[in-house]
Amino acid sequence: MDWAVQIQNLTFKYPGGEKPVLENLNLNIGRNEFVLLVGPSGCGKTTLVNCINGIIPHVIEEEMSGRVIVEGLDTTETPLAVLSQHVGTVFQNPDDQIFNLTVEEEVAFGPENLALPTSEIKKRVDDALRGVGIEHLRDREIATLSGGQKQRVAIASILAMKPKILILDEPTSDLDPLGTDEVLSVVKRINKEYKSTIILVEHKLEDVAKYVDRVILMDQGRIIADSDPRSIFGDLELLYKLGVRGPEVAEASVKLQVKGLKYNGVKTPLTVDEARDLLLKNKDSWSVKPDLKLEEEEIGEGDPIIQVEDLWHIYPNGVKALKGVNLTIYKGEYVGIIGQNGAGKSTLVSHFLGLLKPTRGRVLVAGIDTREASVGFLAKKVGYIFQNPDFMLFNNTVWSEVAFGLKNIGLPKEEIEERVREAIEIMGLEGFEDRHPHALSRGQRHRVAVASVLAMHPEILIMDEPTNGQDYGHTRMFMELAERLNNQGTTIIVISHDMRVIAEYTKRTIVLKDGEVFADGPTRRVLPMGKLRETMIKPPAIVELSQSLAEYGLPRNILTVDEFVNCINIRGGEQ
Amino acid sequence: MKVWEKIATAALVAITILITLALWTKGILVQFLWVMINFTAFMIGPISIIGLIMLKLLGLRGIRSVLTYEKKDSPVHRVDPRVKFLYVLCVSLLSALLGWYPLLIGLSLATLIPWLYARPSKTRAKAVLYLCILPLFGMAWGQGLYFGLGFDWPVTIIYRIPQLKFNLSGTHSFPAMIGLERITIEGLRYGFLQGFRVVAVNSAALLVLITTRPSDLVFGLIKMFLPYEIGFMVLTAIRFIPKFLHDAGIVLNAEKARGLDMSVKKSYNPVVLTGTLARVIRGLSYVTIPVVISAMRSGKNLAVAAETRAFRAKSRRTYLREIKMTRKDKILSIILIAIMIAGVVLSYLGYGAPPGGVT
Repeated sequence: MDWAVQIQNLTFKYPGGEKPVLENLNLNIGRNEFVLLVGPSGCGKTTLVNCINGIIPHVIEEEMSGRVIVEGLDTTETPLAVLSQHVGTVFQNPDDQIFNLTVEEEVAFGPENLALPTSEIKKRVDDALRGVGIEHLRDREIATLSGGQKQRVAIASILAMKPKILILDEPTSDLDPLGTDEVLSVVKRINKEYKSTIILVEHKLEDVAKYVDRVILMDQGRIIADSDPRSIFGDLELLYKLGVRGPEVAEASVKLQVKGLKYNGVKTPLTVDEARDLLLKNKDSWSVKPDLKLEEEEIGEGDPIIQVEDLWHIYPNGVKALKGVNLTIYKGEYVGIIGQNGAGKSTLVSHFLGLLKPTRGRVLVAGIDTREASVGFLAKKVGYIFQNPDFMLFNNTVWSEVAFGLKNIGLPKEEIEERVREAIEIMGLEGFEDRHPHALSRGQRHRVAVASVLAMHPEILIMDEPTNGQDYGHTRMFMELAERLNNQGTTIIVISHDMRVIAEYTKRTIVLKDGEVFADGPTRRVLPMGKLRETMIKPPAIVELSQSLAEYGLPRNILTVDEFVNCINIRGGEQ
Repeated sequence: MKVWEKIATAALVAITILITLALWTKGILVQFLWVMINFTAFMIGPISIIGLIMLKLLGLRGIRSVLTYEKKDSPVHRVDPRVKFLYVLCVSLLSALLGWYPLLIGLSLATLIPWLYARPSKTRAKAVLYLCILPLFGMAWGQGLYFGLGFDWPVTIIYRIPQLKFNLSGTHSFPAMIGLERITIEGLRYGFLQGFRVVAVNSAALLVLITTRPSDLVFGLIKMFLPYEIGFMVLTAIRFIPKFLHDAGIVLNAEKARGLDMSVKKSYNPVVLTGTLARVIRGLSYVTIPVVISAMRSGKNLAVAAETRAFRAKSRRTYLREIKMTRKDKILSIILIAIMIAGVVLSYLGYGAPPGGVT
C-alpha cells in the first residue's frame, strides 16, 4: 500500500534523559487518513509528531535511530524546506507561530520563503484563506483577532505551503469552546476537501472522536493501542489505566453494557444521536428507575463572603466588560463561572482580588469594600491561581516562591516556615525546595504556583482555567484537591470552559454573557437549561442525551455519566 | 505608617530643624530659602511642567499608542516608504544647511503641508503638535540660561539668579556650580530660532511613523539595504511588544494577589515616598524573570515554526505585495533629490546663511 507516513523502529532520547521518549516505534499512516493521537502528558505524542515533520532531527539535532519516511522522503536526508511542502504543522499557541502583522502577510510568508512567483503566491493565499473560511479577515491585523480566528490563520498559512499531511499539535488547548469548534470543523473540512492526511494531537476527545478514522493511544514512548475510535473509546479499562477520558456517551453505553444491556451488534456510539438510537433500538431491555429525583443543591446557606452590587466595569478603551452584575457568593460554596471569552469572567473575578476597581457599583469581600481594603487584606482572604501559572513564579527558589506572599503580609518567621513546609507537602514538592521554579517541569511548576497560594490559607480560592491543556490525570488531581479544600470550608470559584469539570465538581454555576449574568443557580438547574445555547455553550453530552430521552422518563437534570447509568434499570441484568 | 517609618520621619524632621536653626543663627536663612526657590523655579520647574503637560495631554498609555501607525487611506499613506525615508533625509539635510531663521521657520511650515493631506486623528495631531513645539521652548530655555556662559560675549542679562556663596576649597557658589547664573535675551532668542531645526525634523519623522505600516517601513529598508533576516527580526519584535506588556501586567497582578502592595499612597512625607518607591521598584524587578522566560519559550517555538515554513530556505525570496514606485512616487523622489542638491549647492555658494553671518 501507498503510505503517507512510514515509521520503522524509531527510537529517540533527549540528552540527559534517562529513558528514551520514543522506543522502537513502528507506525504506518495511510493517505487521507484522519488520525487522532492520544495519551497522557509526557507520553511522547509531541516528540512523535516532531519526528514526522522533520523538526527532529533538523531543528532539535539529537540522536534518532530508525527511519521516518514521509510521502516517500526520508526525513533525515531531506532538508526541512522540502519537507515543509509535504508536511505542515500547526502548534498549540497561535501567538507562537505567527510572525507578521496582518493576516494576508502571514499566509503569504511560507510561499514567499519558497521564492514562488507573485501570481502563484496570490493564488495560494486566496485558496488557503478560502479553505479555512477567513477571506473576510484578509486585511485584518492579527492582534485584533480572537484565539479561534488566529488559529485558523495559522492553519491557512500552513495550507498555503500545500502539504499533503497536516499535523495539529493540541491546536485547541488555548481556545474557548467556540474557537475549538471553529478549528476542528475546519480541520475536518480540509481532510475531506483537500484529501489531506491529518494527524491530530488533542485532549478534548469529546469533540473530535466523531471525526476521526483512527485513534492511536500512546504511553511512555510506545503505542499501546491503535484502532478505530469505537474500539478504543469502548475499552474503558484501558482508557482509565492511561488516564484518558473518551466521549461521555461512549462511556455511558459501555457502562450500561457492563450492567447487562445487549448491544445487538451495534458498536460504541460516539455522538448523542448514535447513543440515543442505540438505546431506542433496544428499548425493550431497559427502563428508567421509578420515582427518581435528583435534588438541587441549596444556595444561600451560610454567610455571604463576596457581594457584588450593580458592578460595572468599563476599560480605558471604552469596552464595557461588565454591565450591572449582581450576585452573592456564600461561605463554603463551590462555584463555577462559565461563558465565552470576552463575556467578562476574568474581569469579574479580578474585582474580587481588588486588581480592578469598579467603574460603578461595589464589591464586598468579607464585608469590606474592595476599594477600601488593603492589598494585604485581600491577599489573605482570596487566593488566585492564574491561567498560566508560569506568570506566578518570580522568585529564585521554590521555597522563597511559596514564602513570598507570607512575607508580604508580615507573618512571623516561624509561622512562615511552618506554612511553607505544609504547602510544599500538600503539593508533593518535597526535595524541590532549593530548585529554581522555572527549571521544573510544566506540571511541577503548576504545583508550585498552587502551593504559593495555598500557603496563604485563603478563605476563597479562585482557579482560572485550571484544566486547560491538561490531561485527565492532571485535571482530576487538581479538582480533587479543590474538593478537599472545599470540604474543609474553603470557598472555591472555578472559571472553566470544560463543562465536564463544571458538571462533576461545582455545586453552583454562574453563566456570564456580554458582561451580564445570564443564569445563576445550582449547577443541576443551570447546565440543563435550554437557553444556555444562546451563549453558545454546549452542555456536557450526557446532559443532552438524557434530555433527548426525557420522554421515556429520564430526569432532565442528569449531570454525569454515573448518574445516567444509575438511573437506568436493565431487564434481566444485575440490578 | 510602620515603626521604622516613624523613626526615620522623626529623624528627618530633627535634621531639618537643626539646619534651619543653624542657618538662622548665622543670619542667612532667608537668603538660603530664596536661592532654593529660584533653583527650583529654574531647574526642576520647567522639566516638571513639560512632563505634566505631556501627561495631561496624552495620559500614560497615550504616549505609547499615539506615536504609532494610524490606519487610513490618504495620498500620504500611499506613498512608497522609500520616498518617505527620502523625505526625512531631505528635511534633515535642509534643517542642517539653512542658517537664516526665516528659512528655518519656512521649512518647518512646509512640513505642515503633508500633514494636511494625511489628516491625522485629533489625538495624534495634538501629540505631534506638542512634540514639535516642545523643542522651541526647551531650546530657548536652555540657551537662555547657558548662551555665552564662560565667553566674553556681549549679552543682555534680564535676570540674575541669586547665589549662595560658601567656602570649602576656594570660592564656590550654588547654583552657579551647575551653570545657573543668569538669563539672557540673546540666549532665549537664539535657542528659540534654533529650535525650528528640530521642529522640522520632528514633524517629518513623525509623519512617516504615523502614516506608514511598520511592516512597510521595514520592507522599505529591506528594499534599500537591510538584510531580510534583520528586517524579519525587527518585525517579529514589533509584533511581540504588546504581548510583553500584557505579560508584565499579569505578573504585576500575580504579585499583588500575593500581597505585594505597590499602590502609591498620597503622602508628602519623604520617608513614606521613598519606601513606596523602593517597593514599586522591587515589584517591577520581579516582572523580568517570568516575562523573559516566557519570551524565551515563545522564541524557541517561533524558531521552530519559522523553520517549518521554509524560512531562509532560498537565498532569495519573493513578495506577495512588492513595494513598487508609482509614477507619482518617482516624480516626488526626483523633486526631493533636486531640492537636496539645490540646498547643498546654494549653501556652498553662501545662500541661506544669515545676512551678516549672525543668526
